[in-house]
Amino acid sequence: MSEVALTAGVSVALSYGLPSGVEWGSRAARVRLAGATERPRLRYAGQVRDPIVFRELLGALYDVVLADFRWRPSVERESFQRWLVRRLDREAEAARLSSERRRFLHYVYDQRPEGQGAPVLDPVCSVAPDQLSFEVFSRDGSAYARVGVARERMQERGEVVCGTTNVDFSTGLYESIRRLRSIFPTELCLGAAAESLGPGGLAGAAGGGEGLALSTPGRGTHHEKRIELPEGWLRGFVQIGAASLLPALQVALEPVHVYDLCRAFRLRKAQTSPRALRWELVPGQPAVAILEPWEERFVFHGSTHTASERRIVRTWGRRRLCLLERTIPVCERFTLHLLGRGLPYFFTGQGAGLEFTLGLSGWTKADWASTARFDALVARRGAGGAPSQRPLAWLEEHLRGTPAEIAAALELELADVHASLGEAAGRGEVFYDLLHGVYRHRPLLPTPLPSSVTLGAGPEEREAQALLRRDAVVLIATRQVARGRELSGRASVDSTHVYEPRLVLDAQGRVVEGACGCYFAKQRGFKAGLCAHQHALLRLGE
Amino acid sequence: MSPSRFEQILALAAAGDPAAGPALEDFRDESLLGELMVAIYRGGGAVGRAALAPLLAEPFARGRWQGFKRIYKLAEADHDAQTWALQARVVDLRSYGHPVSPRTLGYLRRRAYRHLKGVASQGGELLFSYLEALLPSYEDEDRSEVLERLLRAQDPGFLQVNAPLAFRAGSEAPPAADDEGALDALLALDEAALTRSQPLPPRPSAAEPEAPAGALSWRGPVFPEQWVADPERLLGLLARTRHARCAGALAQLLDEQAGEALGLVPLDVFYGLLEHPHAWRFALGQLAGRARAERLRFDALLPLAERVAATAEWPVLADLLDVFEAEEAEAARAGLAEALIGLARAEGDAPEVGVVVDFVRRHYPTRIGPPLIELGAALELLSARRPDVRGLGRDALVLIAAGGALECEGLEALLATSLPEESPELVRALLIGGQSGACVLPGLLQECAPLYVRGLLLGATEPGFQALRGALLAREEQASGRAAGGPLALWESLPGALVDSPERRVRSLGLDLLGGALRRGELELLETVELLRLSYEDVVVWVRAALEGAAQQGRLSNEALYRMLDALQADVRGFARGLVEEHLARFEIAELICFCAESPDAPTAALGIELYRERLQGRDDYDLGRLLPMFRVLLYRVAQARPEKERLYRLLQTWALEREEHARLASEVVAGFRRSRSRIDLSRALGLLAQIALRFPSLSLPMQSQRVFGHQLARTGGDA
Repeated sequence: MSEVALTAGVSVALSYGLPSGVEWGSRAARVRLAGATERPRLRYAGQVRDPIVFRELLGALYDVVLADFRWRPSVERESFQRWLVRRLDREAEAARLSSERRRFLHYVYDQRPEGQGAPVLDPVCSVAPDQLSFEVFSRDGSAYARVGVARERMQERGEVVCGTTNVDFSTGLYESIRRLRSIFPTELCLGAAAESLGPGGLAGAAGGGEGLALSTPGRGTHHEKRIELPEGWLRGFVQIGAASLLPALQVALEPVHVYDLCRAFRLRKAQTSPRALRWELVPGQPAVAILEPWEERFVFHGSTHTASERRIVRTWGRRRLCLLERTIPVCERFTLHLLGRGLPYFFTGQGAGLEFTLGLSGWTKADWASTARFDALVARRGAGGAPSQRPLAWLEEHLRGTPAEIAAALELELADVHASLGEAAGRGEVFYDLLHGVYRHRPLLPTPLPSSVTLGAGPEEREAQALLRRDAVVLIATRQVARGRELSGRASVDSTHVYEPRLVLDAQGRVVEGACGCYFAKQRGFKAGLCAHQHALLRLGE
Repeated sequence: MSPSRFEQILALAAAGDPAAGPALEDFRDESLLGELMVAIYRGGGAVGRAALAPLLAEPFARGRWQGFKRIYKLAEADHDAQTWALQARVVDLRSYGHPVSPRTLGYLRRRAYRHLKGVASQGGELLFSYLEALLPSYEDEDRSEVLERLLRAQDPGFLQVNAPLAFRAGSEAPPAADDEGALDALLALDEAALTRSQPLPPRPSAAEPEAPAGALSWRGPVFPEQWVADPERLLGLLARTRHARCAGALAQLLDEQAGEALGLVPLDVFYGLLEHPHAWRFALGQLAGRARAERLRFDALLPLAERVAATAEWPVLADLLDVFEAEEAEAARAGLAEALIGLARAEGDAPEVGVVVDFVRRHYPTRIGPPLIELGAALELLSARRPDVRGLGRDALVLIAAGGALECEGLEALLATSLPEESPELVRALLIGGQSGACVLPGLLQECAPLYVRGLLLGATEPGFQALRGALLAREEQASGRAAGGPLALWESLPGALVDSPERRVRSLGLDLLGGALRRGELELLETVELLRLSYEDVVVWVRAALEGAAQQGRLSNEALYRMLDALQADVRGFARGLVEEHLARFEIAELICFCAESPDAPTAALGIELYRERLQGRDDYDLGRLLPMFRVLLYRVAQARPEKERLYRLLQTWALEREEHARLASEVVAGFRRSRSRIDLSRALGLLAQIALRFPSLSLPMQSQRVFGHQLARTGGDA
């Protein structure tokens, strides 16, 4: 059990009653994922129709969990190499390691007691009326992945209790998952369903000659796993949710397009800048990706996009796209969601009853938890002032719903629904499902935070509040423009620093455009959210 | 202060009122204080003397000194030994004190010596009254000029006393052991020689001429004949004297000059002197001198023996042990055991300790063990350089092991000693049971975790390792006869721990034990598959040989193959693929083929798919079409598994051209690559699609083709 103080001043304690694992019988397997005992007791048991696809998806998820693309100082690399040679007993063997095994050993290296590596964060698992989902962050915090499996693709058994929990996801589990085959019927048990069975309870395990029960590492009657959630873990989820609410260009790609991109990243590595992946979107033409610095053009024939005018968007941290490799064969189509230059981007893949979402921060070093401030771009106040709590209550009951459905059911304006649920997302209670265009109820904490607390509050927002308290910001004008409502104002920080922030909000209250003369805005644009003056202007406008 | 106060104090002193003391100390008139002190002294009386004592002890102040000086001379003249001794000690020990100059103090010291000399010349009661008043007032280390002169400490023979060891006689001198070479030479002696008693050279008898007189001998204190006139009284004075040099001088004086007069003194006096820090040697010498004539009180010698054992006074100890050899000393001897064993532990490498070890082994054979010698003490003894001390440790160890007190930590320390090299049989007996009946190892193995035993082996010296190895293998032989128990989890067992060890010798032992466990059925062959992930070549080779042997005999289970085929290590998967073919040569197992075909490992999957095609296609409901998702998984491997991809393309081509339905399915798998920028994938995909188009023209494909100059040209709708 661990306790981690979050930025909002709350703490999370997580422990597991049982270790997760895979149990093998003579002709069947059961994937048992134990849930955190502190969370509401969700329950799910069902047979996976396509174990191979399930295996590949969990493999992709595991790749994300272990991924760490941060630059490592040479001292650390050398230290790892020395450790590796010592462990393998032979230098030659260390040299010919496969990348997969090398990554695995790096994980083992980081898990040493004296290791400095970041811990692996267990996935958040949700059972919704329509799907099961697993969400994880990479170890460097710059990549987020979500696997969704449609419940209609499962043969469910017994009572299903929807909810959200953290599940134990260990290396031993991954090694066992590699053994999943279509010839072995595979059952997935989550939360209370897994714990009620207990370890080693698979029927037929004591079957014929080939029916040896396979023990998985860490098997035992009780499992107390320490979860060292880093500060900002919840903030990362909040920023992901906020970023997914922002308007984005969508590029529909075929699996082979992603394959080509990953292949290019595998085969060559840029030694000099620039290292962006430049997307050129021209209406009526297939999307084009250009690899810098070689200026290699990838014309993705068969792709479509939503750009209504010629747009060029540069994205960074492109090698992280290799995390999609294992999903390419199981997905039928991919969609790229581009928020803007240097901003985060999402890759979503969809197949028969499954989906995979990869959310990448603007660049590798700018992880979701610490740098991103996208919640500021999402409106939190409705037209009537303080947002209503009714949409959240409705979502708690129905667990999912499109904004239109919620607005219709509650007879609210769409903007009010977005404002209300956007604020709830800021507390980690709901998130916006990019693929399905629905809000989902997914509480990240065992108990909801008070409404006064938001996890996204950053230094700029606090500075904005200070400016508002001393009336240093005034709203000069509000007018309708083509993209929505434009707010302009003046911020007098002191006698020599006077700025004129400007923001454009769309019909849903989202910030779609903005400018300010301050250094923060000039330097970063929206990549790190709004500056303090834009924050203050937004408050005045709301 | 008014004169009336002077008189009041004087009156108080004269009246014997104890208030005179505080009143005198409060008297502040310096001009009259000296006069007052003298008046009180002259007045006599015990109270007056007691009132003066604090002022005489601290005389260095105006007024006081004047009184002190006059009283000093008065006491001298009156032969007031008590008062004079108090003052003489002050002037003797203080070198300076304002307002008195050092020269004045020196004069008074000389005067004191002269006075004492005069008293000594008179001898008798007067001398002893002075000595008894003066000598006991000095502490151990006081630097006294008066006593030095009185005792004639500058004489060459002063305090050069030979150890009065007369219990034994006629032995050789011990070998010199003051350097390392001599010690080694000593250690080379056999045990008997080492444990032989080593008395000091015999004391010169009275008949022998002494050393040249004069310069080399101590004449004794001034007028020594007066001092030794009453030896018993001098012995009493000696017992009360704590000053080291003075007590030594008195003992020497008695020893050298009292002569036969001491023979008349009762032995109790000497027993009492055994406790004296500076005179016990003298007393012991006297006791030794009369030991043969009178029955000794061994219980009175016991504290001394314990003391010299604690301070390692080897010559005296040797002599005392010789005394305790007497039959009558049996009761007292029992009390010596702890001190002697402690000495043997603490001074195990000392050349003289042999006599102690010999004594202990002869007289305490049943006590060489707990509680006197616990495991830690035994290990200390075993670590000694002397073989006889190590022998003592061995004896103790046997008793400890018999009592079941050997613990894991003790075993580790035991293996680190020289015992495994010196007495491998004893170690073996200790570990697996032998003459002593102790059977330690099974208990230890139950108690110690396998990883701990591995640590023992890793840290052991070669003899220690061989001893433990022999014990483990012997246990293995014993175990082979018993009924097989239930299967054991490899990593929870000793062999599993040993084979995962960085030392080859430990791994080799682990493999030996592993083989035994497999033969007895205590371990499933399946469990050994886990060992293939280790990076130790000898282990991997051994396990591979075992698995290959099992495969040739048809004993290898599918489960073992599954584990190997899904291992993270590529070499393990490769080895397993070799076994698959051999396995299938004996058994036709569709499940195994399907398992391979759906493996996440590309070579295994390619092999499985080929086997599927060769052996299962067309049988029952086995159809390659079911594996098409795996084709996608393999073909979309990014920048890897090219040989496998080529094999799959060939297989897919053959299969696709068989039937139109196959062709349709195959085209769905490869169609995506028609837009790939990977030329080789594009080429393979287009080639297959073109052949399908030729073979089944009616089939709708995501491409168009036409024959140009004898070649098939494909158009995919993209840039191909």
